Amino acid sequence: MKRKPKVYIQMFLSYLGMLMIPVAAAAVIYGYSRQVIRGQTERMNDNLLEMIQRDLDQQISDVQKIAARLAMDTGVQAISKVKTGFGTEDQMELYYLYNDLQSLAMSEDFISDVFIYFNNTQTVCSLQGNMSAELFYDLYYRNDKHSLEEFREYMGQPHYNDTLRIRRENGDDTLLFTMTTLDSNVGGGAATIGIGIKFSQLESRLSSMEWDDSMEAAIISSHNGAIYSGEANDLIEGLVFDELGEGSHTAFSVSEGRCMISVLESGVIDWKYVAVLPMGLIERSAKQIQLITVVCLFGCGIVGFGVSYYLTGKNYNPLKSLVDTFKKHGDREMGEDDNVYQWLNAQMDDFFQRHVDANRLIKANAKSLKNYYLFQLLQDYYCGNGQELERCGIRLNLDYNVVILFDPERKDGQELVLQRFIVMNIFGEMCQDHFNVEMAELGERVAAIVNLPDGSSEYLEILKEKIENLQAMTAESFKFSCTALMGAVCRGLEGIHTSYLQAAELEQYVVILDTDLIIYDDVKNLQLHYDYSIEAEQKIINAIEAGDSRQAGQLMMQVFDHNLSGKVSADTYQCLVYDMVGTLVRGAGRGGYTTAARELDFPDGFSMKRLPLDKLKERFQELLDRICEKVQEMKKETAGDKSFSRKVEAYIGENFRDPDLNISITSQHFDITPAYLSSIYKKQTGRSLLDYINSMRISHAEKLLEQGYSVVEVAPMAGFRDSGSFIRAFKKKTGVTPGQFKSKF
Amino acid sequence: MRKRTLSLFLTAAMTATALAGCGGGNTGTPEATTQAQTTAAGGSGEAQASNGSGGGEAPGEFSYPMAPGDKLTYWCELTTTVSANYASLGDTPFGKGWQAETGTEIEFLHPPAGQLKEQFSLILADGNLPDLMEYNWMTDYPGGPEKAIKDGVILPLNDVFEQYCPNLTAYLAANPDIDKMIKTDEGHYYVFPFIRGEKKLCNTIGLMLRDDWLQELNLEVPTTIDEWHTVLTAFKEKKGAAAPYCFEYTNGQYLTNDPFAFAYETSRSFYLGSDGKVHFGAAEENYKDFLTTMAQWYAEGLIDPDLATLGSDQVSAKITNGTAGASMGQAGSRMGTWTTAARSSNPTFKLVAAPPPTVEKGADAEFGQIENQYSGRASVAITTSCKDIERAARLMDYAYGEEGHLYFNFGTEGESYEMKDGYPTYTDQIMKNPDGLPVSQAMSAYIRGNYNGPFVQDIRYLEQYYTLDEQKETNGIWGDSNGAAHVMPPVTPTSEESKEFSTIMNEINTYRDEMTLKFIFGTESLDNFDTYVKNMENMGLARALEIQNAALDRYNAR
Repeated sequence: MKRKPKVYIQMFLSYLGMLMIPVAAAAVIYGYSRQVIRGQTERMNDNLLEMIQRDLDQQISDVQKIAARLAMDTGVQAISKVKTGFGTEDQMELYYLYNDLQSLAMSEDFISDVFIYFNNTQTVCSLQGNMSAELFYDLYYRNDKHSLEEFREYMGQPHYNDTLRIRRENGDDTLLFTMTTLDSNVGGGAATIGIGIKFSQLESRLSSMEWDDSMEAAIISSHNGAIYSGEANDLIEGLVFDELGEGSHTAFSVSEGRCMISVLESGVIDWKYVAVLPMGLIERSAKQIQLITVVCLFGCGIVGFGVSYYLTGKNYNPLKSLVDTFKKHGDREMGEDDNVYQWLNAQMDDFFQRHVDANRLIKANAKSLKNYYLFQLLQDYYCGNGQELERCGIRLNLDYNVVILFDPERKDGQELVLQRFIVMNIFGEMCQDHFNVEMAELGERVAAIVNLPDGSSEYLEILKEKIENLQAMTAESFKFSCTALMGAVCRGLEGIHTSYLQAAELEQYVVILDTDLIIYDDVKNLQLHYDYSIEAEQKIINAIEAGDSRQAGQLMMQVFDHNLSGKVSADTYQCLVYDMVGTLVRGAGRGGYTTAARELDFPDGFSMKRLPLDKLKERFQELLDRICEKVQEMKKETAGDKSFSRKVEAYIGENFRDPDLNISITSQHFDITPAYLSSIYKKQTGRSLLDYINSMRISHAEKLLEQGYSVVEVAPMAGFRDSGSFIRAFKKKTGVTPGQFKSKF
Repeated sequence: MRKRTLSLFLTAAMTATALAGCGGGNTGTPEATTQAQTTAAGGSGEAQASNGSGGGEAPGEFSYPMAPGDKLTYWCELTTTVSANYASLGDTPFGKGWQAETGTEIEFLHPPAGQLKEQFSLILADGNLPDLMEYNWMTDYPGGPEKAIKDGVILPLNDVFEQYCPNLTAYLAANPDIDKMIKTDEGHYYVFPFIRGEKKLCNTIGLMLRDDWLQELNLEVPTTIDEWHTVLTAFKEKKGAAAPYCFEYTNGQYLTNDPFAFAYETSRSFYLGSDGKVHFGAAEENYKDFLTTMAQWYAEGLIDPDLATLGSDQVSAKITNGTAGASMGQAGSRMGTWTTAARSSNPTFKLVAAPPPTVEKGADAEFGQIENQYSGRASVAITTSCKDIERAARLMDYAYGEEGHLYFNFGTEGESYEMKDGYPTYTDQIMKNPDGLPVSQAMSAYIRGNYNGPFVQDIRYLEQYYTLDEQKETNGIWGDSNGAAHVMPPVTPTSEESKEFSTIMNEINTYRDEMTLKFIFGTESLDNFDTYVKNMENMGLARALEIQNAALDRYNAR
């Protein structure tokens, strides 16, 4: 097995350490149990002795009572005084005594024998009858230890509650209590009462109370030594009566080893009851507990070890797999003495640091990707199913979309990034409550794709409001303006591109409309026609032909102002510019400056770049000036040729108040055909004669109108047949009605 | 079938209970109770018969062993010769064989030795009676057997005998005098009796004296008071016997059957006079004559001075060691025992039976010791607790049949006895027991014939039990009197009478015993005999005699 790492050992040891708790508990329990067993044993011994004491004391006190009664019996005392041989009277007394004894002892199974030994006559009165001491001895007390003589001698001595143990020949074992009659007159030993108790009774009473086979109950008497010692002979014989105090002691027995001895004194006789219990018994009980404890401990140990091993494995494995994982992916090797937890901690910190970085990267990537997809959406008709969009976090799940392009005011580059960021954030934030908005940066601009449930104006109004709010906010808080170009609301994702194109198209209106918010829907409905009449062109051409750049410029500016002062579409603007350029070219051509188109390179100035109106005007004025200058140069070269036209013009100047004046009248005056007159005039001035007449009349009318004449008054004064034709002609020439013109003043 | 039997049994039992209840409440009609119990016994018996052994109702069809059935409990005293070797009668070959022969399982219950009467009282008090109880129901049940029946302790057996006991019934029919003895005055059988089969078995106690001394002194076996005086004096003077005549004075049986009192045609107790009346010997003039002789002998030192307290130990010791030369007792337990004991030290020791002495030389002895064939002892009653009465009855009846008689007296053929010329002879298993058991103990293992029990005792047991010639002679010698005419038959006073009787007699007997001793010792002059008699009469002697005579009349009327 591979060497386990330190932490594994530590963990395992800590689990094993917990095993010390039951070990300690077991030790305490064992010690306590031992005490309890000993205490209980002592108590049991005490109880036993008390029982023995109660029982035997009762019996012995009965015996003593009988003995005392007999000792004090006058009949006994009387007979005891008979010195030689009994008379018939004495025989009667003996008979009575015999009957007495019968009644005394019959009920006592403890007492086997009651007799009275009469010392003087050497006779015995007993339960078995009256007889000579010799016969009595022979019949009942013959034994090896005490001869008849000894028996007589013993019985002849004074006694008081003495005991003598006699083992008879027939096997009966008797404990003989003796008491001499209490007759003070005769020296003593006149009669001795003997009460025999069956030793077997004593024995069975004692042994029946022994609660364990190995224990012994014994009796020790003060002068006779052991009366009953059971099987603990050697021990009991060795005990000295006077040295035995009540209570428990320990002693040593040859056969049993150390013993516990409990002693209790008899209350009625100089006996001590002794209970002998081999310590082995206590030890045995204790040993059983010890055995059980050890077995349990061993079991606990094995189970605990197993559990510890299991738990360590279970708890270490996750740790180990963690460590392994880090080891596998990490570059740092764990040192032998490193604390695994600290190491892991460090690894974790490391890991999470890296994880955060990666997240940031992924986020940035996701942003780029999203931007890319948005870009695609804007730049091309989308033909996917939207899944990849959703993966990138682009949520345009409603049916309609509209693209808004924000074009922040350009300052220097650094600010542009900030501005874009500001716009994106603010607008995103503003709209997120109402719409799904995706923002993308497109070059300098910011594109917002707003997702709408339908194309109703309700949403557009809100959107417009948001845009205005944004613009107000950028202007106020960030000090920059921001143009918003909003395409039309288009259906589907593929509509985004359409909307984008529309929005992009609106850019050209920025200059034209001079507004911050341009909405495609508003713009598309702008006038596509413009008011640039041939007369006005003719006038300008005439002015150019005449080299009158002031006049021409005035006229031209009028046209521009007239047409470009309101909202106009870019196309209109473009067309007008081209028309004007055409006018310039034609005017130059009439003036004889036929190479103007080539030399001035007109289209360059207008096609590529849209110019604000004032710049446009300046440019055109400049061009006019250059052309007129050239024309005048060329006119000076051809001045003679114009004398005829001046005559015509002078004639007309004198006669134009005549409503009948026309080309025919004029030709008649000069005697040429009207056609010829017109062609020569046109050739010389670059304009038609009729136009000149009308110009004269209108100019005069204008003066009159300025002078305060009414339209009706002015018409005949300026050579118009009626006011109707005057108004028509005036309008055609100036673009406004005479009334309107007059109201200017 | 089984169900019907059960219900029949239950009905019978319930009826019995109900009737018994009525009877118990109505004390005036004891017959009703008896009737009920008899009916119950019969009823349950029938039920058992149809259920168990089969064909029990027809005696001819019945045969042992019975079909297995309920275990019976049997309470009896375990005699010492059995208890020496066995804890229970059921452990003996006899007990096992008895169960096998009868097909009945018996659980034997024995009171501790010497506590027969105490245990009997305890069992009665407890009320949980064994099925069968062996006891002296005649004399030892307080109030007598009729009371025991009335108390609901035991069953009257008349119907039981009739139904299930053909053997005993047959025996009683053949022995009407015994039949008379084992009934109550009301005519109820109450036990399966212990019966001494022959009169010879009834002469158990008699005088005996040292034959070797007689031979040595050239004296004849004494037959008269005077001859006895001569012999005893010779024993005292020539043989140095300190107590020439010495007997167990403390044994009441010996006192009651004192042959020297019989010589004066008296007894210390009741006897049947020639007039057919009951007499109390100790209050009669003859008793004074007897006491005069005894006092003279005592004064002369012919009688053991310690007479008053003599027990068997002392007597035995004195006879065997030659302190005494004459005594009295049984042929077996005394003569045999003493002879055996003494011969170990004195091979010439021999005791010889002396005939009942007379006052006049050559006169026929009028009085003599004899027991009734039925003494009441060791007789078995069926208690009211017994469920299977038929089984119990048949178990008991077995002993009174031919097979049972042999079994109870001789045991198992081939084992404890062999038939030799029609004479059941004990084998050596009994007579010379291989395990060294005394004959009495060996016998007790196999039979009850040597002591007692519910059967008819066979004389042939005794013929073999006595091993000494002098023992065998005793029956002839001791029985040579007209004693049977004077022995009190087993009369049964009524329970009220017996209570009164025992109260009176306790006092009289104590007084009599004390006075008798005083007269013998001489501390009381025989001149005071009349005063003594008068005192006894004052104690109610007349009433006691009246009760006895009434009982006798009832007995005779049986």
